[in-house]
Amino acid sequence: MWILKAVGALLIVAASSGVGGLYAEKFARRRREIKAFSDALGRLETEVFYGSTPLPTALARVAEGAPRAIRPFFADLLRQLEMTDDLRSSWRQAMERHFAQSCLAPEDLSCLLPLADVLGTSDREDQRRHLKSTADRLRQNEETARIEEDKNTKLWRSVGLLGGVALAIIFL
Amino acid sequence: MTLDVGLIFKLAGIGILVAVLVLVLERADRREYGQLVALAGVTIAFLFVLQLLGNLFTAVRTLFNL
Amino acid sequence: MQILQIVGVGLAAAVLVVVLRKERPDMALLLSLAAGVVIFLFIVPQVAQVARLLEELTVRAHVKLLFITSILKIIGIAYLSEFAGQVCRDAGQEAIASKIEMAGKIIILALAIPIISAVLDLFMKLVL
Repeated sequence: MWILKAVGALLIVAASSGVGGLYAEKFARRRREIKAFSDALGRLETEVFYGSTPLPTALARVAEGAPRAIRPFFADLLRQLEMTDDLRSSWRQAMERHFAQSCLAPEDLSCLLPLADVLGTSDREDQRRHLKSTADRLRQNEETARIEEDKNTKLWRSVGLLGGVALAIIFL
Repeated sequence: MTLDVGLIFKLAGIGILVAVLVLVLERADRREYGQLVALAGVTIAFLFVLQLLGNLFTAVRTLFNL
Repeated sequence: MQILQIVGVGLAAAVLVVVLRKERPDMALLLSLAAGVVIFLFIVPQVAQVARLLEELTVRAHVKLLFITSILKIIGIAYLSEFAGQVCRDAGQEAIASKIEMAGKIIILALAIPIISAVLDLFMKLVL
Protein backbone atom coordinates (compact mmCIF):
# COMPACT_ATOMS: atom_id res chain seq x y z
CA MET A 1 0.00 0.00 0.00
CA TRP A 2 2.64 2.48 0.99
CA ILE A 3 4.87 1.57 -1.91
CA LEU A 4 2.04 2.52 -4.23
CA LYS A 5 1.89 5.88 -2.52
CA ALA A 6 5.66 6.29 -2.74
CA VAL A 7 5.66 5.54 -6.47
CA GLY A 8 2.74 7.92 -6.99
CA ALA A 9 4.48 10.69 -5.07
CA LEU A 10 7.66 10.15 -7.08
CA LEU A 11 5.72 10.35 -10.34
CA ILE A 12 3.99 13.55 -9.34
CA VAL A 13 7.24 15.21 -8.26
CA ALA A 14 9.06 14.05 -11.38
CA ALA A 15 6.30 15.27 -13.68
CA SER A 16 6.07 18.66 -12.03
CA SER A 17 9.83 19.13 -11.98
CA GLY A 18 9.87 18.18 -15.64
CA VAL A 19 7.31 20.80 -16.50
CA GLY A 20 9.24 23.40 -14.53
CA GLY A 21 12.46 22.40 -16.28
CA LEU A 22 10.84 22.56 -19.72
CA TYR A 23 9.53 26.04 -19.05
CA ALA A 24 12.95 27.12 -17.80
CA GLU A 25 14.56 25.62 -20.93
CA LYS A 26 12.68 28.08 -23.14
CA PHE A 27 14.76 30.97 -21.87
CA ALA A 28 18.00 29.16 -22.58
CA ARG A 29 16.81 28.21 -26.05
CA ARG A 30 15.92 31.77 -26.94
CA ARG A 31 19.40 32.95 -26.04
CA ARG A 32 20.99 30.15 -28.05
CA GLU A 33 18.83 30.87 -31.10
CA ILE A 34 19.64 34.55 -31.04
CA LYS A 35 23.34 33.75 -30.92
CA ALA A 36 22.92 31.26 -33.75
CA PHE A 37 21.27 33.87 -35.95
CA SER A 38 23.83 36.46 -35.00
CA ASP A 39 26.70 34.14 -35.97
CA ALA A 40 24.92 33.13 -39.17
CA LEU A 41 24.48 36.74 -40.21
CA GLY A 42 28.18 37.33 -39.55
CA ARG A 43 29.11 34.44 -41.78
CA LEU A 44 26.69 35.61 -44.45
CA GLU A 45 28.38 38.95 -44.46
CA THR A 46 31.79 37.31 -44.87
CA GLU A 47 30.59 35.02 -47.65
CA VAL A 48 28.89 37.68 -49.72
CA PHE A 49 31.20 40.62 -49.31
CA TYR A 50 34.62 39.07 -48.91
CA GLY A 51 33.94 35.96 -50.97
CA SER A 52 31.62 37.59 -53.50
CA THR A 53 29.53 34.45 -53.60
CA PRO A 54 26.01 34.79 -55.02
CA LEU A 55 23.30 34.96 -52.40
CA PRO A 56 21.71 31.49 -52.74
CA THR A 57 25.10 29.72 -52.53
CA ALA A 58 26.13 31.91 -49.61
CA LEU A 59 22.91 31.10 -47.80
CA ALA A 60 23.43 27.39 -48.41
CA ARG A 61 26.96 27.54 -47.03
CA VAL A 62 25.81 29.47 -43.97
CA ALA A 63 23.05 26.90 -43.43
CA GLU A 64 25.59 24.07 -43.43
CA GLY A 65 27.60 25.62 -40.63
CA ALA A 66 24.60 26.72 -38.59
CA PRO A 67 23.45 25.00 -35.39
CA ARG A 68 20.65 22.49 -35.74
CA ALA A 69 18.09 24.85 -34.26
CA ILE A 70 18.02 27.28 -37.17
CA ARG A 71 18.82 24.93 -40.03
CA PRO A 72 15.12 24.32 -40.78
CA PHE A 73 14.74 28.05 -41.39
CA PHE A 74 17.49 28.10 -43.97
CA ALA A 75 16.25 24.89 -45.61
CA ASP A 76 12.80 26.41 -45.90
CA LEU A 77 14.24 29.67 -47.22
CA LEU A 78 16.30 27.95 -49.90
CA ARG A 79 13.36 25.85 -51.00
CA GLN A 80 11.20 28.96 -51.35
CA LEU A 81 13.98 30.74 -53.25
CA GLU A 82 14.24 27.87 -55.71
CA MET A 83 10.53 28.05 -56.36
CA THR A 84 9.89 31.78 -56.54
CA ASP A 85 13.36 33.35 -56.83
CA ASP A 86 12.00 36.29 -54.81
CA LEU A 87 14.21 36.78 -51.76
CA ARG A 88 11.96 39.32 -50.09
CA SER A 89 8.84 37.15 -49.84
CA SER A 90 10.83 33.95 -49.30
CA TRP A 91 12.68 35.45 -46.35
CA ARG A 92 9.47 36.79 -44.84
CA GLN A 93 7.56 33.53 -45.21
CA ALA A 94 10.43 31.37 -43.96
CA MET A 95 10.90 33.72 -41.00
CA GLU A 96 7.24 33.66 -40.05
CA ARG A 97 7.08 29.89 -40.32
CA HIS A 98 10.22 29.50 -38.24
CA PHE A 99 8.97 31.95 -35.61
CA ALA A 100 5.83 29.90 -35.07
CA GLN A 101 7.76 26.97 -33.59
CA SER A 102 10.85 28.64 -32.18
CA CYS A 103 11.58 30.25 -28.83
CA LEU A 104 12.33 33.67 -30.29
CA ALA A 105 10.59 36.73 -28.92
CA PRO A 106 8.67 39.24 -31.09
CA GLU A 107 11.46 41.78 -30.69
CA ASP A 108 13.94 39.30 -32.18
CA LEU A 109 11.61 38.74 -35.11
CA SER A 110 11.38 42.47 -35.70
CA CYS A 111 15.17 42.57 -35.91
CA LEU A 112 15.40 39.80 -38.48
CA LEU A 113 12.33 40.40 -40.64
CA PRO A 114 13.49 43.72 -42.19
CA LEU A 115 16.47 41.89 -43.71
CA ALA A 116 14.00 40.71 -46.37
CA ASP A 117 14.08 44.13 -47.97
CA VAL A 118 17.81 44.52 -47.59
CA LEU A 119 19.46 41.37 -48.86
CA GLY A 120 20.29 41.26 -52.51
CA THR A 121 18.68 44.61 -53.29
CA SER A 122 20.84 47.66 -52.56
CA ASP A 123 24.58 48.06 -53.09
CA ARG A 124 27.21 46.16 -51.12
CA GLU A 125 28.16 48.83 -48.63
CA ASP A 126 24.52 49.50 -47.81
CA GLN A 127 23.80 45.81 -47.28
CA ARG A 128 26.88 45.49 -45.11
CA ARG A 129 25.76 48.38 -42.92
CA HIS A 130 22.32 46.88 -42.55
CA LEU A 131 23.71 43.48 -41.70
CA LYS A 132 26.07 45.00 -39.12
CA SER A 133 23.33 47.04 -37.46
CA THR A 134 21.05 44.01 -37.32
CA ALA A 135 23.87 41.97 -35.80
CA ASP A 136 24.40 44.67 -33.17
CA ARG A 137 20.73 44.77 -32.25
CA LEU A 138 20.69 40.99 -32.08
CA ARG A 139 23.66 41.07 -29.75
CA GLN A 140 21.77 43.47 -27.45
CA ASN A 141 18.81 41.12 -27.47
CA GLU A 142 21.15 38.26 -26.71
CA GLU A 143 22.39 40.11 -23.66
CA THR A 144 18.86 40.71 -22.35
CA ALA A 145 17.99 37.10 -23.11
CA ARG A 146 21.03 35.97 -21.13
CA ILE A 147 20.05 38.10 -18.14
CA GLU A 148 16.51 36.75 -18.29
CA GLU A 149 17.81 33.23 -18.59
CA ASP A 150 19.96 33.61 -15.47
CA LYS A 151 17.04 35.08 -13.57
CA ASN A 152 14.47 32.56 -14.63
CA THR A 153 15.92 29.06 -15.04
CA LYS A 154 16.68 28.48 -11.38
CA LEU A 155 13.38 29.99 -10.34
CA TRP A 156 11.14 27.88 -12.55
CA ARG A 157 13.03 24.69 -11.85
CA SER A 158 12.60 25.22 -8.09
CA VAL A 159 8.95 26.15 -8.51
CA GLY A 160 8.38 22.98 -10.51
CA LEU A 161 10.04 20.78 -7.87
CA LEU A 162 8.39 22.42 -4.85
CA GLY A 163 5.00 22.53 -6.48
CA GLY A 164 5.32 18.83 -7.25
CA VAL A 165 6.15 18.02 -3.63
CA ALA A 166 3.22 20.16 -2.45
CA LEU A 167 0.83 18.37 -4.79
CA ALA A 168 2.16 14.99 -3.68
CA ILE A 169 1.60 15.93 -0.04
CA ILE A 170 -1.89 17.23 -0.69
CA PHE A 171 -3.10 14.28 -2.70
CA LEU A 172 -1.34 11.37 -1.03
CA MET B 1 -11.66 7.39 16.20
CA THR B 2 -8.03 6.51 15.44
CA LEU B 3 -5.39 9.16 15.82
CA ASP B 4 -5.02 10.68 12.37
CA VAL B 5 -1.42 11.73 12.80
CA GLY B 6 -0.94 11.75 9.05
CA LEU B 7 -3.24 14.71 8.72
CA ILE B 8 -1.18 16.78 11.15
CA PHE B 9 2.00 16.07 9.23
CA LYS B 10 0.28 16.74 5.93
CA LEU B 11 -0.83 20.15 7.14
CA ALA B 12 2.63 20.90 8.49
CA GLY B 13 4.17 19.77 5.21
CA ILE B 14 1.88 22.01 3.19
CA GLY B 15 2.66 24.90 5.53
CA ILE B 16 6.42 24.47 5.20
CA LEU B 17 6.25 24.07 1.44
CA VAL B 18 4.13 27.17 1.05
CA ALA B 19 6.64 29.09 3.15
CA VAL B 20 9.53 27.86 0.99
CA LEU B 21 7.70 28.62 -2.27
CA VAL B 22 6.88 32.12 -1.06
CA LEU B 23 10.54 32.70 -0.19
CA VAL B 24 11.74 31.40 -3.56
CA LEU B 25 9.26 33.53 -5.46
CA GLU B 26 10.05 36.58 -3.38
CA ARG B 27 13.75 36.19 -4.10
CA ALA B 28 13.00 36.06 -7.84
CA ASP B 29 11.07 39.34 -7.77
CA ARG B 30 7.70 37.68 -8.15
CA ARG B 31 6.06 38.67 -4.88
CA GLU B 32 2.56 38.59 -6.32
CA TYR B 33 2.90 34.91 -7.27
CA GLY B 34 4.11 34.26 -3.74
CA GLN B 35 1.07 35.86 -2.18
CA LEU B 36 -1.19 33.92 -4.53
CA VAL B 37 0.52 30.65 -3.57
CA ALA B 38 0.20 31.52 0.13
CA LEU B 39 -3.50 32.20 -0.32
CA ALA B 40 -4.01 28.94 -2.18
CA GLY B 41 -2.13 27.05 0.53
CA VAL B 42 -4.27 28.53 3.29
CA THR B 43 -7.42 27.69 1.34
CA ILE B 44 -6.41 24.07 0.81
CA ALA B 45 -5.35 23.68 4.46
CA PHE B 46 -8.59 25.28 5.55
CA LEU B 47 -10.57 22.76 3.50
CA PHE B 48 -8.72 19.96 5.27
CA VAL B 49 -9.45 21.48 8.66
CA LEU B 50 -13.08 22.10 7.70
CA GLN B 51 -13.53 18.38 7.18
CA LEU B 52 -11.98 17.73 10.59
CA LEU B 53 -14.27 20.28 12.21
CA GLY B 54 -17.26 18.53 10.65
CA ASN B 55 -16.17 15.32 12.35
CA LEU B 56 -15.72 17.20 15.61
CA PHE B 57 -19.19 18.70 15.51
CA THR B 58 -20.82 15.37 14.67
CA ALA B 59 -18.97 13.68 17.52
CA VAL B 60 -19.89 16.38 20.03
CA ARG B 61 -23.49 16.32 18.89
CA THR B 62 -23.88 12.57 19.35
CA LEU B 63 -21.86 12.58 22.54
CA PHE B 64 -23.72 15.27 24.42
CA ASN B 65 -27.08 14.96 22.65
CA LEU B 66 -27.06 18.61 21.80
CA MET C 1 -0.87 3.27 25.42
CA GLN C 2 -3.20 6.02 24.46
CA ILE C 3 -1.71 8.80 26.50
CA LEU C 4 1.65 8.25 24.85
CA GLN C 5 0.16 8.69 21.42
CA ILE C 6 -1.65 11.82 22.49
CA VAL C 7 1.43 13.31 24.09
CA GLY C 8 3.49 12.48 21.03
CA VAL C 9 1.05 14.06 18.61
CA GLY C 10 0.60 17.09 20.84
CA LEU C 11 4.31 17.77 21.23
CA ALA C 12 5.03 17.21 17.56
CA ALA C 13 2.22 19.58 16.61
CA ALA C 14 3.47 22.19 19.09
CA VAL C 15 6.96 22.11 17.60
CA LEU C 16 5.63 22.35 14.06
CA VAL C 17 3.39 25.26 15.04
CA VAL C 18 6.37 27.13 16.44
CA VAL C 19 8.33 26.45 13.25
CA LEU C 20 5.49 27.73 11.08
CA ARG C 21 4.43 30.66 13.23
CA LYS C 22 7.17 33.03 12.07
CA GLU C 23 6.73 32.60 8.34
CA ARG C 24 3.09 31.64 7.98
CA PRO C 25 1.10 32.34 11.15
CA ASP C 26 -2.11 31.49 9.31
CA MET C 27 -0.98 27.93 8.60
CA ALA C 28 0.28 27.65 12.18
CA LEU C 29 -3.18 28.51 13.48
CA LEU C 30 -4.84 25.93 11.26
CA LEU C 31 -2.27 23.35 12.36
CA SER C 32 -2.88 23.94 16.07
CA LEU C 33 -6.63 23.84 15.49
CA ALA C 34 -6.30 20.54 13.62
CA ALA C 35 -4.10 19.07 16.37
CA GLY C 36 -6.63 19.99 19.03
CA VAL C 37 -9.50 18.47 17.07
CA VAL C 38 -7.58 15.28 16.30
CA ILE C 39 -6.67 14.73 19.96
CA PHE C 40 -10.24 15.35 21.08
CA LEU C 41 -11.64 12.97 18.48
CA PHE C 42 -9.21 10.36 19.75
CA ILE C 43 -10.63 10.69 23.26
CA VAL C 44 -14.30 10.67 22.26
CA PRO C 45 -14.93 6.92 22.85
CA GLN C 46 -13.81 7.24 26.46
CA VAL C 47 -15.97 10.31 27.03
CA ALA C 48 -18.90 8.49 25.48
CA GLN C 49 -18.39 5.60 27.91
CA VAL C 50 -18.41 7.93 30.91
CA ALA C 51 -21.46 9.80 29.66
CA ARG C 52 -23.45 6.60 29.13
CA LEU C 53 -22.44 5.36 32.57
CA LEU C 54 -23.69 8.57 34.17
CA GLU C 55 -26.99 8.28 32.32
CA GLU C 56 -27.41 4.69 33.45
CA LEU C 57 -26.67 5.62 37.05
CA THR C 58 -29.27 8.41 37.02
CA VAL C 59 -31.89 6.09 35.56
CA ARG C 60 -31.16 3.49 38.22
CA ALA C 61 -31.31 6.10 40.96
CA HIS C 62 -34.78 7.08 39.68
CA VAL C 63 -33.74 10.67 39.13
CA LYS C 64 -35.41 12.49 36.25
CA LEU C 65 -33.37 11.89 33.10
CA LEU C 66 -33.85 15.53 32.15
CA PHE C 67 -31.30 16.57 34.76
CA ILE C 68 -28.44 14.42 33.61
CA THR C 69 -29.03 15.16 29.91
CA SER C 70 -29.12 18.87 30.62
CA ILE C 71 -25.91 18.60 32.57
CA LEU C 72 -24.24 16.66 29.78
CA LYS C 73 -25.37 19.25 27.25
CA ILE C 74 -23.99 22.00 29.45
CA ILE C 75 -20.67 20.21 29.68
CA GLY C 76 -20.58 19.89 25.89
CA ILE C 77 -21.35 23.57 25.37
CA ALA C 78 -18.77 24.59 27.93
CA TYR C 79 -16.11 22.43 26.30
CA LEU C 80 -16.84 23.66 22.78
CA SER C 81 -16.90 27.33 23.70
CA GLU C 82 -13.69 27.02 25.68
CA PHE C 83 -12.00 25.19 22.78
CA ALA C 84 -13.07 27.82 20.29
CA GLY C 85 -12.21 30.65 22.66
CA GLN C 86 -8.71 29.29 23.21
CA VAL C 87 -8.11 28.90 19.47
CA CYS C 88 -9.18 32.50 18.95
CA ARG C 89 -6.88 33.65 21.72
CA ASP C 90 -4.00 31.78 20.12
CA ALA C 91 -4.80 33.71 16.97
CA GLY C 92 -4.66 36.95 18.93
CA GLN C 93 -8.37 37.59 18.68
CA GLU C 94 -9.22 38.17 22.32
CA ALA C 95 -12.39 40.02 21.36
CA ILE C 96 -13.86 37.13 19.39
CA ALA C 97 -12.79 34.68 22.07
CA SER C 98 -14.61 36.55 24.83
CA LYS C 99 -17.72 36.87 22.64
CA ILE C 100 -17.78 33.13 22.02
CA GLU C 101 -17.37 32.35 25.70
CA MET C 102 -20.03 34.90 26.63
CA ALA C 103 -22.43 33.26 24.19
CA GLY C 104 -21.62 29.86 25.68
CA LYS C 105 -22.40 31.11 29.16
CA ILE C 106 -25.73 32.54 28.09
CA ILE C 107 -26.78 29.35 26.33
CA ILE C 108 -25.80 27.34 29.39
CA LEU C 109 -27.90 29.64 31.54
CA ALA C 110 -30.85 29.18 29.21
CA LEU C 111 -30.40 25.41 29.37
CA ALA C 112 -30.20 25.48 33.13
CA ILE C 113 -33.51 27.29 33.52
CA PRO C 114 -35.65 24.12 33.69
CA ILE C 115 -33.36 22.66 36.32
CA ILE C 116 -33.39 25.87 38.33
CA SER C 117 -37.18 26.17 38.15
CA ALA C 118 -37.55 22.51 39.16
CA VAL C 119 -35.30 23.11 42.16
CA LEU C 120 -37.25 26.25 43.06
CA ASP C 121 -40.55 24.33 42.79
CA LEU C 122 -39.19 21.66 45.10
CA PHE C 123 -37.95 24.30 47.51
CA MET C 124 -41.32 26.08 47.53
CA LYS C 125 -43.08 22.78 48.19
CA LEU C 126 -40.79 22.05 51.10
CA VAL C 127 -40.99 25.49 52.65
CA LEU C 128 -44.64 26.35 52.03
